[in-house]
Amino acid sequence: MKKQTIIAIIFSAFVILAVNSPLIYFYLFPKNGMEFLGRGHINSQDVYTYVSFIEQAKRGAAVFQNLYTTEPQKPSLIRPSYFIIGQAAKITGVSSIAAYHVARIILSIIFCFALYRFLKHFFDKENELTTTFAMVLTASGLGFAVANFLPDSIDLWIPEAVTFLSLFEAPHFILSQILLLSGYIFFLEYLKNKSAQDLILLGLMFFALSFEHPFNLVTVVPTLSLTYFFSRKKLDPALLLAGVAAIGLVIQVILTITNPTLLSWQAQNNLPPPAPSAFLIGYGLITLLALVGIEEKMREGLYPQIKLLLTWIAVTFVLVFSPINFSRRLLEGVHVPIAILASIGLSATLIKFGKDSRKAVAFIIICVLSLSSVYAIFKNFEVINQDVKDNYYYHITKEEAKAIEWLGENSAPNDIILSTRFFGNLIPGIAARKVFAGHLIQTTNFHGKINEINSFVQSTDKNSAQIFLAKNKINYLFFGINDQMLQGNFDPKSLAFLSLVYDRDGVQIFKVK
Amino acid sequence: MFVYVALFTSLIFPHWDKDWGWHYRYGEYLLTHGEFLIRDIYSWTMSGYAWINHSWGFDPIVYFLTNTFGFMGLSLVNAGIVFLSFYFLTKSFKLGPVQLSILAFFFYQITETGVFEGLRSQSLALLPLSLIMYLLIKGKENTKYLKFLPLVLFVFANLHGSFVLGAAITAVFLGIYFFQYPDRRWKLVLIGAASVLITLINPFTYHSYLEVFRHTGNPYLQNVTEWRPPSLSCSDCHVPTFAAYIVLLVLAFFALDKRFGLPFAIVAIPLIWESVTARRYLPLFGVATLPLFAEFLSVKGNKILDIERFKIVPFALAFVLFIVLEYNLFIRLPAANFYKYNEYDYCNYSSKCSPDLVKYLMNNPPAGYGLNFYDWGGYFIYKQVPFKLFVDGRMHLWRGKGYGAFADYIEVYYHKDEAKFKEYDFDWVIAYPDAPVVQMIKESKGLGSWRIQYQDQYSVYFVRER
Repeated sequence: MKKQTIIAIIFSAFVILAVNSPLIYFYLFPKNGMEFLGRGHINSQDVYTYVSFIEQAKRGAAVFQNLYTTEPQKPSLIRPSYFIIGQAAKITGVSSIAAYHVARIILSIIFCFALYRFLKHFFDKENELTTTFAMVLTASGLGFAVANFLPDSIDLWIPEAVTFLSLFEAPHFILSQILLLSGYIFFLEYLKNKSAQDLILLGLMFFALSFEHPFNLVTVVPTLSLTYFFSRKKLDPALLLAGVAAIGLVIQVILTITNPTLLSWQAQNNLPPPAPSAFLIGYGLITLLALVGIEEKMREGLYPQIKLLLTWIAVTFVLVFSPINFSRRLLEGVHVPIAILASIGLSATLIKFGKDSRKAVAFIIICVLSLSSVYAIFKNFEVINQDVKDNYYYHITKEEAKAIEWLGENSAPNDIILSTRFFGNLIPGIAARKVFAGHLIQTTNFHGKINEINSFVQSTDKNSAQIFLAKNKINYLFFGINDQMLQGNFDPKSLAFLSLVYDRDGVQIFKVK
Repeated sequence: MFVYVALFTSLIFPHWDKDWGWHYRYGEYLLTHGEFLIRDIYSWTMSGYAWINHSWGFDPIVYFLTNTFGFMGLSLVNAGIVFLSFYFLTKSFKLGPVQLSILAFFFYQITETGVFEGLRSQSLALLPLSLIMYLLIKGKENTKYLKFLPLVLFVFANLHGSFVLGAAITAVFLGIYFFQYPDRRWKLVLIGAASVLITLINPFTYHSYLEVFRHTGNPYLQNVTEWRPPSLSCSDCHVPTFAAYIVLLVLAFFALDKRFGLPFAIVAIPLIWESVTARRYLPLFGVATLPLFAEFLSVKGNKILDIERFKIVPFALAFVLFIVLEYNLFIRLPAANFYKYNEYDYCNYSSKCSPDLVKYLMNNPPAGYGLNFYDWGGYFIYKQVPFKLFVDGRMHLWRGKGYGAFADYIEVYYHKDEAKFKEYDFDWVIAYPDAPVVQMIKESKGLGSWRIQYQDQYSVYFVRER
């Protein structure tokens, strides 16, 4: 094995360890004897939505339901990655959240291999390849320096926009990037060889991608066809490529518009991008280096690989600022071409330094570029560490965890649980049961339902409380230790239509009669 | 052209000027009665107060635009005015698209805090001020341009109090030209004198000057957002850009011919101080100094700024401008509901005023005298609520016989002065739900018996039970 390859492997291991260090630490040393929930500060409310798919798969489902909303629905969500993870969890007997993180780590390793393979299409020299590999995995923006003035900086809160942050994300985020890079690898092969096999493999990668992150295909389809057209000046094959890549997208669009649950979920999925300045700061110095890299390649003459990178970036940003309600999601993966071009720019800049000092300068620049990534790790440690016995979000007490598990074992699959938003977010992931409200986007009319819960606990009219529970077909009420719902005058024991079925260590569960 | 389109769309802001309502009614009064509304008819605390409304000329414009084009029209006219200001400021210089973009960026960032509420007299004032700058720069080579200065200043003096700055800038530039061009001295003296004297032709004559100077040193202005320093929680002041711009101006001053830079330096120094102490001066500072920066960028052979030698520059510039255009049209403006902007949106963006509260008050007029939230005064006046106000956006400087309603308002509403509250013996109070005065009414035992007559997400209306 070549020396540079070994360096890349060691570096990958280091990055994966660094990304996951807050998780490892708090699993080993949870706060105040509680149980760590295994989520970080970015997209924290989403973790258990994915874990709920794993839990459903563990319990035998092949097609999933959205457990965060109570409107009538049939199991119709096809998530191959979570089905496989769920089956693996069932066989090995590990918890769903553990399976979720193990899958993330395994997929992170595969991602590093895919990235290395992708980069080989751009660099002949091994040291340039390794430098770029390091940059893609760690380089980020200036968010750490301006967090107080510009909290919108994308390297602080949009994980799909930065490779390092996306390695902390859900398994299917990482899998999507693997499929994205693999699809582009086969595209570059196809450009070189015109082999039907590469075309089929390309189609398969993007078809698989359509089940994980279908919106990625919104950028993939124009990127492929435009790159082909700019490289070969032929329209028909360019359209063929677009057609092959778009198959999965078309299927997903049909599945979405024919499925009321997905349609409602999608309608609430408003993810506009922040202002352009948040991108400039969020990509910071790598933007400048990428501009140097593009200038360098424009002077040399653009070849198809570089055209792919430029088209990928241009298409992504044009679409990100277009009137598509989920446009922020289209950023996924775009950090890769930007970082590659930045690496080319870095090489061009280093020529101005003496041969002896180049390595040192490159090392310093890569370290500076990775400061925001280091900040992300620090931030996770900081926010998780803020949990205390009476006020926690990243942990749960052992008693509460046990009670949720009890609920999973003693309630029927279609039962609906009413709880605070905090527990409502966890119950589907731990117990695979539906909740009245638990997720900002996946719960249909989330704010309306939260208002209904507030009215329910504040109301002194027992009759209207019973009507509310009956109307929403709620079967159980879950109250944790020092539960917010019990802070006012609400006393579930005084309600004749509720019976106490679980009462241990300060946690109570009531069944609706 | 693309730079202009990107800048124009960036300058479109949803209209949320809190003072819009009383400007509208003042304009209506002027056009329907054919006379100025000199004495106050809207408040009960200072009823009949004779007020120097230095922006009187702006009021009928607001009335006409609101009636003809609605909120969207006010926003677009505001963008057009500020855009034209930029056009006049840069028109005298030979600038490529890159240089123009750099100028547009700084202009946008420096002026945003003064123009982002939609059409206000402050933003309208940028147009005559930029015209003055244009005429003064062109007039250096050709005195025929200077002849238009009195006309512009006449219009300016009837639109907004910042005409005083316009007159001062004119005096500084003409003063410098006086020494630089001995052969034109008589002309310069005549034009200068005419420019200053003509500003006295307004309904309030020299009182307009006095009204402007009264703003200096008033401690209660710190309670009005636009009079606060830009460094205090102001996301639209762009303090780092402001600092960078000052550095660039210093560079420009030393790089350019001192004869060009000297009047700008004289104007800029006090304006920097004013801008640091009150964010409202930032746009005026930007307009008064941008030509110096434009001249710096337009000098040929400037290697530091010659970035057009890079092949990527035209592509990158076109791409960035396209993204800015997309962001404005498809993300920023729809997020503010700009294309369907209505009164609820206006309230949401301006001062969280409540159209539902106003509907209630129209049907159930409050009896007696009460206290209202300052920021909602303009909206109440626009809606012609059936009661007189304690205070509104016109009144922060009003004082008569040692009394000023605004000063008492601050003490009662924000500082929870119970003694003063009792002194007024209010019958009702209208406030936002977590206002300090609301807290005082709820917690204090000695203020009498109060009941909440109306409450919604944004407002609460208390009535005293006697």
